[in-house]
Amino acid sequence: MDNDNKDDEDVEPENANTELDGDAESEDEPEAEPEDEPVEVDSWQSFQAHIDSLVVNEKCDKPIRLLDERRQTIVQRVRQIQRDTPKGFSERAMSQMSKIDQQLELSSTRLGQLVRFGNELVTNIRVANERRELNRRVFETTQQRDMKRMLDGENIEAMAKFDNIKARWTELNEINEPMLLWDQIEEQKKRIAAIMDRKDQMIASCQQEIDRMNAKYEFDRQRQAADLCCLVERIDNQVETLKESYKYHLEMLRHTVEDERHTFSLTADEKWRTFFNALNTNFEEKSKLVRVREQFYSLQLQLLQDSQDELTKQTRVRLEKECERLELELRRTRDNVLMNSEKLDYNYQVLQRRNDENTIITNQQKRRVARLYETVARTRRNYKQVFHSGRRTIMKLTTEIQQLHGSISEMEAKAMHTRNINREKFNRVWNINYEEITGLLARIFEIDRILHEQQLVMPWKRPNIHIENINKPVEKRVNNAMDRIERRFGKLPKQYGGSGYTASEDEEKHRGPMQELPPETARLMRNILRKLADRGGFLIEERLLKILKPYSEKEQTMVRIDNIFAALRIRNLDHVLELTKVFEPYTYCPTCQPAGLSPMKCAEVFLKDQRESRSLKLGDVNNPDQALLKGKNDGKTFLVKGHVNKETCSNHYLVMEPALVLHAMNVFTKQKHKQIYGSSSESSLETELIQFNDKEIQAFWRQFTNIFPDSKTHLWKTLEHGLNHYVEVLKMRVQYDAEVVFLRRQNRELRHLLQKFTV
Amino acid sequence: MDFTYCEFPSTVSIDTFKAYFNPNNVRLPNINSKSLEQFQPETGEGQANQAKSLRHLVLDAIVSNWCELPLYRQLSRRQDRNYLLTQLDTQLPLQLLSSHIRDDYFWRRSYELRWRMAPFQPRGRERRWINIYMERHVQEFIENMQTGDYEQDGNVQAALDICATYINQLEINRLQPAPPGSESNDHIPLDYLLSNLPDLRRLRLSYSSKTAGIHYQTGCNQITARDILLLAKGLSQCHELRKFCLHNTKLLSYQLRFLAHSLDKGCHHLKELSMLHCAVGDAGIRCFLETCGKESFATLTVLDLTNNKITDEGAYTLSRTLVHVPLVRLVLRLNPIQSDGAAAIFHTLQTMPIRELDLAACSITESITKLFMMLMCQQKTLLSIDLSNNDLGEDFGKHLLKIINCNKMLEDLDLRNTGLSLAMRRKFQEILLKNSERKKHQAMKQQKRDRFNSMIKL
Repeated sequence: MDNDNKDDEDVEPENANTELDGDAESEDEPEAEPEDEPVEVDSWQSFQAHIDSLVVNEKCDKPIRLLDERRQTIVQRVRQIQRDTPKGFSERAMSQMSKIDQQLELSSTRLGQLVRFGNELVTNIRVANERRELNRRVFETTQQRDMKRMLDGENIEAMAKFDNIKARWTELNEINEPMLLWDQIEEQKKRIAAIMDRKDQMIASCQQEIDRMNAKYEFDRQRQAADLCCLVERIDNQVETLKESYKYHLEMLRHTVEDERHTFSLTADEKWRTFFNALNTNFEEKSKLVRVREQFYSLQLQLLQDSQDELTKQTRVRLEKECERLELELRRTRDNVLMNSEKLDYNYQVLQRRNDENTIITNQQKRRVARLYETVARTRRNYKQVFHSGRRTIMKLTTEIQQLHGSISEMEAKAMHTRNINREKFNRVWNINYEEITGLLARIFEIDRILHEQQLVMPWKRPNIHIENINKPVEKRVNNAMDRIERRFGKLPKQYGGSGYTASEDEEKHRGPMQELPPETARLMRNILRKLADRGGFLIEERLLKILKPYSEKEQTMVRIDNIFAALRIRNLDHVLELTKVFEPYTYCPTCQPAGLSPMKCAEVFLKDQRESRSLKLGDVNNPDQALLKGKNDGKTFLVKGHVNKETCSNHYLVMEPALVLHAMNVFTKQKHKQIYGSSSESSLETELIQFNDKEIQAFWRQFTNIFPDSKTHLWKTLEHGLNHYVEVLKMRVQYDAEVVFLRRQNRELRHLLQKFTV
Repeated sequence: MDFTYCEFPSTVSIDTFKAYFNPNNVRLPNINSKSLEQFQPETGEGQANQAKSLRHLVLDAIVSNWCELPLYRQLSRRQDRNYLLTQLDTQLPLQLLSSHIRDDYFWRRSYELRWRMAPFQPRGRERRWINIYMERHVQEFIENMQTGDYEQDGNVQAALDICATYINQLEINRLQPAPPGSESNDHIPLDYLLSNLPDLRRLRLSYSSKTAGIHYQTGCNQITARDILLLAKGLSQCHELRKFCLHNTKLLSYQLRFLAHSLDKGCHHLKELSMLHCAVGDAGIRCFLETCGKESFATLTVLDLTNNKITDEGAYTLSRTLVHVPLVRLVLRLNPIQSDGAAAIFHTLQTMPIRELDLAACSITESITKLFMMLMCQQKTLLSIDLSNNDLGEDFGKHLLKIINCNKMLEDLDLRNTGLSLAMRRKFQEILLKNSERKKHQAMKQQKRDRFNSMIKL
């Protein structure tokens, strides 16, 4: 309890002190300004009075009183020092600085002193308080130690006495005498009372000590309160004075600054004024000088002007003359210029008009161009449309054509079918008729023979009537179907002897060595062959061409021709000859016909060819043989013609238009084809048709009417007449015979009846 | 110049204002801050008869409905905002205000309305008034909280939600004691509070109560085991703590161990450590220093151990440990360390950049004379020494007078109540004054030289 209280007591004043110190310092620092004598004195006096009263108070400690005395002396000394401030050093230093700096220095020193003083004044309380605390602690510790020592001593003493009493109690146990015992007990009681007294005394002293401490605490508390009051007052005063002094110094500083500014402005004014004055005087002097100079110059100028006037007069006269001349010239040139300008104007106008026209024209052109563009676009569009429509129509037409082709082929098939049917019918009818007529003829011949032998009893001779049947049946063709197939596959029918065809045997006779050929044909052939090699490339495999590249031209031609021949199925010299024959009409002699193969001829060749093919294709159905013959004839004539040509210019190379090579080749292949497979489909078709006309048929049938001579018919008529009579007679006879038979049977029956009756 | 309609509350300081305008021919707004009041004696009555402008009416309406519809940032004009700040009711819920308004002027007004006097702010180190307000608010909140009222998730969390981000320094001068009936003397737990103040830099704490009253019971001013545990736990979360001061709280040695541990591990930037009037004692010092390693408290610059019953033994242990700490200020006031302890301390001072040394009332006797002379000659960093209330005697003064001219750094030497004569102290003071003046002069010269050098460089 005690301890805590003390602690609290210790703690609180210090805390308060420190806090207040802090406040004071924090307030002191930002401001800092000089002192104000009367105010300070006042405040100090009040302080002193207060502190004196405190000091006078007898309860104050001795050191504090000393402290206060010291403080007073310090204050006096400080005041003394401030009063007679050493003027030597400070003024010397100040004179070097500006007034503001001086003032600042002064203020800072003064204020620093003041602040330090104030600080000391405030901290003094703290120091005093600490000293007091320290003293208290020392005093308390000594007091405590004394007290403790006393208590310890008393304790030991009391313990000794207590032990004594305790020892006595054991002794008392042994005493049996009551009186003695009582006495002893009384003594013990006295002793105990003494101890108790002693204890009471101790307690009392302790109580006293506590009282003292309480009193001390109370006193300390009061003093602390007083101290705090004092401190607060001091701080307030200090703050006040510091504020005042700071304000004062600030004011002073401001004044000095103002003064400084003022003096500075004055000096500056002065400086500038002298400067301006000097400037003015200088200026006046200069102006005088200038004036004198001006006069001098004006005189000079006058002189110069006079001389110049003379000069100008002369020159003016001269110049005027020149001027007149120039004026004349000028007038002339002006006229010229006027003329020119008019011309130019005219030209300009013309040009302008032309320009206008040009613009109009260009506009028109532009318009036209635009129109053209439009038309171009339109035509393009039209073209596109037409193109599209054309394509569409083409497509349509192709489809139509295809359809038509289909229908044609159908029609053809139908036609073929009907043709076959017709033919069959025809054949059947024909055969029936023919058989009938032959039967009739045979019967006639039989009857005639019978007539001759039986009636006339004449030897009958068969009349030689031979009418050939023009419509022979065609059953051979049917047998040929197999052959045809075989022929397609390239085998020769056995009919022809198995090897080659019949014609080959005949041709073999003509085959001979190359040398036998006429030289011109050989030359022509070489030419043709080379052309073929060049033109017939499409017949050769592409790979071969690649392989051939490195070889010489001759070798290349060789291989190429070989290949082409293989493709064309040319196997021997005869074929080659045939080829040349085909090619001859397309050749010409460059020396004799320098113009080359005339276009007319070319056209002719083409047209002929085409007609040929067309005639072949369309071919008169009724007489295909004729057409064929005709074509053959044509070819022959043509060949002959070529031959004639060739003969005309012997010893000349014959040349051929390369364009015609292919054509010729085409012709050759066709020919070849025809040769090998006969007249193919067309010929087969021809055989199926009726190969004779109405007249022939009529003639054929009319033959039969005139087959018997008139005598024979007459004979037959008479014979018929007689025989008819004879038939009549015979018929009568038959009748009579029948009547006789009947009558006989009737007679027999009647006889029978009679017999019955007779019976 | 008429600023009547320009409401500029705090954006322009009075000095700036005076530098640019002559206050005599300027009309100032009559509503706002008192700093401008002295310059406008006659403007008061002119406006009483005038009808308020529509703008003001609108703003008044906004102010009156602010609770429902807090419009502040939506007002784009500065004048409107200023008017709003001058008119807004400071009694509105703190959360609402703090979430919408940051302006210094408003918070200063709130502060003045709530606590009458706004503290001065040191020039150049002004802090946001919202911070000051919130700090004071939290301080009162903690100081007035009864131990039974503490609800970690309730009122504490609510207060922290509002204030925590603004708290930079906290000064708790008292804590409410436990109610008389309770078994323990535990105070409110500070762990949650401290660990949720992320920007806390200064903490000044006392577990004492200022008013005892009829509920006084033994030990209500003392810190209990639970208290110290929670405090240590909270402190270990205050990573930004720079200054820590625990005062007027009796600390036992085992408690100091917790404290040292948490301060060492949690507060890596601790610069000032003060334990004033804590009755730590030698044992406490020993415990405190036992917990520290060689590397701990490497950033500590100020150590204040005023009135802690430290004797020469404690001073000796302290001096051994302080070798590694770069102290600038060391205060051992009111500790009876005596000459031996002082000698140990002096020995340690050689290794640290000490500037202020306070050994007032340390029961130092004149046996220290020789050592102190050595210190005066050798130490080149000390600026201020306080040796008041020690029995040093006249001889000390005589010796010191001979030797004091060796030291050109010392500016302040307090020798009051040390048995020296006043004249002698006067002399010392003069010498030291010269020292400081010389230094000032040198600094000025150096400044001039620097300026000259920079001019040359330019």
